[in-house]
Amino acid sequence: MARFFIRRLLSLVPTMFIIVTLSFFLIRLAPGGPFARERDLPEAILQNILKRYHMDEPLPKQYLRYLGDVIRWDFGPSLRYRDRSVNEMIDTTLPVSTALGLTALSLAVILGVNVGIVSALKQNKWPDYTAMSVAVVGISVPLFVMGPILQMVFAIWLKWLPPGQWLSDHGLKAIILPAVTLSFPYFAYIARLSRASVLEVLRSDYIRTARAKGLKESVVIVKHVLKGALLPVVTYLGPALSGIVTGSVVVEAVFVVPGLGRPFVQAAINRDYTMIMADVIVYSLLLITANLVVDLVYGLLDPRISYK
Amino acid sequence: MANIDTTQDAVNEFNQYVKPVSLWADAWKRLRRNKMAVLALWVVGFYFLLALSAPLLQSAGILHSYTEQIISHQNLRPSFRPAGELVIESLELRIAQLEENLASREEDSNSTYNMATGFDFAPAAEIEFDDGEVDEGEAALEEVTEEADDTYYGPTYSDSVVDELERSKAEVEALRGSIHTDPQHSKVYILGTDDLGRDMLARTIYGGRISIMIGIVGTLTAVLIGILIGSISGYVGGAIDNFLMRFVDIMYSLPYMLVVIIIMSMVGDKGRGSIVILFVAIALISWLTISRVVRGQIISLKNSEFVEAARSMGAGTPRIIFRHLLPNTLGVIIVFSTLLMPSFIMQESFLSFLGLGVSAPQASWGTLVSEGVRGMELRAWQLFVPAISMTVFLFCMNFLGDGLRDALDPQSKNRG
Amino acid sequence: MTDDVILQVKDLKTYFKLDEGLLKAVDGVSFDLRKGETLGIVGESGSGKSVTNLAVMKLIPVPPGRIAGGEVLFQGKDLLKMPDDEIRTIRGNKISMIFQDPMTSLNPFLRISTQMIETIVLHQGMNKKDAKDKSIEMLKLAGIPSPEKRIDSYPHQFSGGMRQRVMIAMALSCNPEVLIADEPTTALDVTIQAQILELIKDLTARLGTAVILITHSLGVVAGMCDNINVMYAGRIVERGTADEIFGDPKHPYTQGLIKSVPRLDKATQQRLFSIKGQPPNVINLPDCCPFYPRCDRALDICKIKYPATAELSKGRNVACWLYSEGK
Ligand SMILES: Nc1ncnc2c1ncn2[C@@H]1O[C@H](COP(=O)(O)OP(=O)(O)OP(=O)(O)O)[C@@H](O)[C@H]1O
Ligand SMILES: [Mg+2]
Repeated sequence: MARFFIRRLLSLVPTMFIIVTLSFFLIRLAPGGPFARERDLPEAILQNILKRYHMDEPLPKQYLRYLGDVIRWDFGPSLRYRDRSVNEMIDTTLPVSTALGLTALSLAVILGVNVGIVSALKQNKWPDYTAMSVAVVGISVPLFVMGPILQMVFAIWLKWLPPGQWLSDHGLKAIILPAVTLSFPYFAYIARLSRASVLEVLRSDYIRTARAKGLKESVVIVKHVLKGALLPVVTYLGPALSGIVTGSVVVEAVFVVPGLGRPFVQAAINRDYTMIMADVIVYSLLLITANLVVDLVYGLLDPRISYK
Repeated sequence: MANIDTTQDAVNEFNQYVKPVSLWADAWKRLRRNKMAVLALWVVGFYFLLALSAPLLQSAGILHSYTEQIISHQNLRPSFRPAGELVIESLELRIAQLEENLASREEDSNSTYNMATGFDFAPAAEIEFDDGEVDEGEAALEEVTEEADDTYYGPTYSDSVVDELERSKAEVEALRGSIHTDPQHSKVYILGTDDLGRDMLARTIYGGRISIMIGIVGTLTAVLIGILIGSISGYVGGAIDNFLMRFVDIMYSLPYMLVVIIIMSMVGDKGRGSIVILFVAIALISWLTISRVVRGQIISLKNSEFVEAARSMGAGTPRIIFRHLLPNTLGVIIVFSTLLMPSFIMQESFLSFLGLGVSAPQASWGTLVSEGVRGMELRAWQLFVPAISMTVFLFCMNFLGDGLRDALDPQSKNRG
Repeated sequence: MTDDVILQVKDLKTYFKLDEGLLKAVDGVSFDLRKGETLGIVGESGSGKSVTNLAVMKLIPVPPGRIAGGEVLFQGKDLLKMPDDEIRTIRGNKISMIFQDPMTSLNPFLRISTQMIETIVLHQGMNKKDAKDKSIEMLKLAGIPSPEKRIDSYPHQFSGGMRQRVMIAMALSCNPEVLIADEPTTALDVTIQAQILELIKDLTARLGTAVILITHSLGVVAGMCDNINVMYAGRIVERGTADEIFGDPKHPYTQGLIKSVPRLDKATQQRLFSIKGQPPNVINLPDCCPFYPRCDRALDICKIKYPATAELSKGRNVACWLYSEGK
């Protein structure tokens, strides 16, 4: 187990290397650059600027320099926001996005699993129909529709919750609307997934055996059904997290959350090379580690998986 | 002695209905029994029809143009009454408001509250995003501050109210004169207009046309690439399989939209907004799941008995794959595609919402929603019309997908 | 006479409500099981053998299933009318079951020890330690080598035959009065089949357990059972002692079944007999003998009405028009 973990941890290195290399060259080789917009810029000044960012050097040299910087966790200066380094921007925005994302993920998992189980146990009765209708809505309504509507209802009409602005102004209340919005599709998906898998396990032979042994229904559910039924949910955590990361870009825009999403979109629009690269690295590192954790948890839950 | 019926429903000795042999006929029967799925099928059909026939409807004069901007028809609410009347009405409302404003200002001359501005609630981020785009052209190197747009927050000009009052009165007069002569003013906007005076109905239908088109093309591309890569990987196996699946794994671990955003940023200003690039960007990444499904099917088929049997009878392997694999996998692929399409549409609108998707004059549902969000407090229809149209469609596609899955895989529902 | 009867099934009916119509999986089945007796239930796939026995334990999934009528008297009490917590004290304790597929019948996520101990603790009120010792003892009886080492394994670490042994050990761990073995060997290799059957026969004889042995093939029941019920399309069409059924089968279906058993003593080069046609689909079955389309000796009346059961002698019944009305 420990050996497996270390091996997986080591395999992060080549994966990250590939990701960094690919994105570096893809972004650089595309026509245009961060300064292409400033058409009127005198040639001399442009050269000066390029020099300042070492962008006048040949690409391979730039690449090696960048690689060296990244290993030291130095992402360089932002090409767009002159006076700020990319590290600074990430240091201020990443905790915000992480808080939002983790809250949303926990909401989605806790609510989703419970609703899914109840739905399955009440199959084809009203709690099931209600929950599953809500779930289809959750899957069908895009975040950027859900967000403004929740905002309109709870912040503007009912005035229960702040419409936006982050913790500094409103304390923890400010996280509710964005987190609920962000978690909704994943809550819906997890609810459907856990319902389906509880139903499937309930039909399985080993549950029939458990019942034939005279176990109480509650024991059957808790001891025999849940473990197997929740495995698909664990598998889904990776994709869910990746969805939440992207979803948070939109939710942060709707609710004015000062997270990583906005600088990222801005960087993409402005072709702020260093910022884009840093975002890619941070996001992929986050997701790859999350997937590693998911794999480990899966292995702990399913005795049929053995790590060699 | 078995009296086989000539109709499709065969009957056996006991006069019992015998299940149709074909999986498809059986699935179709089951799908028809699922009322929600049938309803969803009709709605989806209706959307497709509308999207296809939009240019026809427009040239027949049933639908207004989706690009034509009539400035005087700005922000009309949904109504069955002709536009002229609505404009007059809203101008009169405005006049009353301005007069009241003047009166109250005389009472309390300290008040600087500016009724004259049309500022309404919009999330600050939206405004800032606008800035990003608006500024783009003129953004000077040194100036990257994100100050708010000053057209809205300008100081109150005491004269502007009077000015506007005069102007509005003159406009009403002019309108009254031309309302019966100018055909423009007899236009009816059932779903209202946007802030440039464009018909919301036409824009929503055209937006749907683009969104649905992106959904279809994206799905087709993704499915084709997925089948191709999946079958190569599963069929050839070995190092190639290993390589391809490692690649798929890495792609999986990347946040999907992130990659699309990077691609969109790569193509630069000229490419961005081009629908083709958007297709490519989205489709390039969404074949992952289908390729895994197909690969899994191929591998299990390769080892299955009937392929062994077919091979021992001298059939070539590619032939076997195509004869057996596709029928075996088609169900999964169909269900997957029905569920993939709404997710494509959602992703595209997601990008458009962020300003990275299709660009003017074209508009997808996502563009429309993001435009609607800006004025949603005062002009809710600009948000709700595209938002509801889009949601209903996505809802129906999801229902249809679920229905198809249940129909093609009865095991999942009928038992237990 | 009924004092040594421990399980009495009377006119049991179990229906499934499906989209296609009403499926009468079991339609009026009656039989008695005596102390220490081994009763065979034989029939083709889909004839309702499993459903009969699940209904006895009230384990039919509801919906779509429904026990539509009948009684199951165990030690004089009707199991079907018992409240759930009372019948739970019988399941796994007085009546226990072994299922067809050992690969899927054990919970893959729990250790063998957990699964065995929970039954013993539940029904025998032992503490966990004693229950574990008892489990090890049962596993040893069931022929698992070095059980004290293997008891903490997970099911996937056992072969199919081993898992069936675990199932048997688990089922017998509370000294049940009745063991219902639903095709315990169908999923296993032929060599293992014989071992498992031998094990069941051996252990139940030692513990004095009555057995209901469900199977497809008459070959299996021949050496094991005292009495045999032959089921077809949800009903018992013929019953008798093993000697009677094999020596003098009455129902054309039983005759067909017997002819299709491969026999070593008649080593002919003949092709194995098989009954023509398919078993009927029991959804919305009309009132007729469901076997008539496959029967060589069908009469006109067979198509119109189901035959009443004729009692040829004590405990020897057959439901066929050929034997009705003193024929
Ligand atoms: N949960 C269920 N839902 C619907 N129909 C069922 C269910 N369980 C059993 N049936 C139906 O009841 C009929 C009898 O099934 P049963 O399992 O008793 O057959 P069997 O004699 O045990 O066959 P086999 O030898 O294949 O085990 C079959 O037609 C089957 O389709
Ligand atoms: Mg069975």
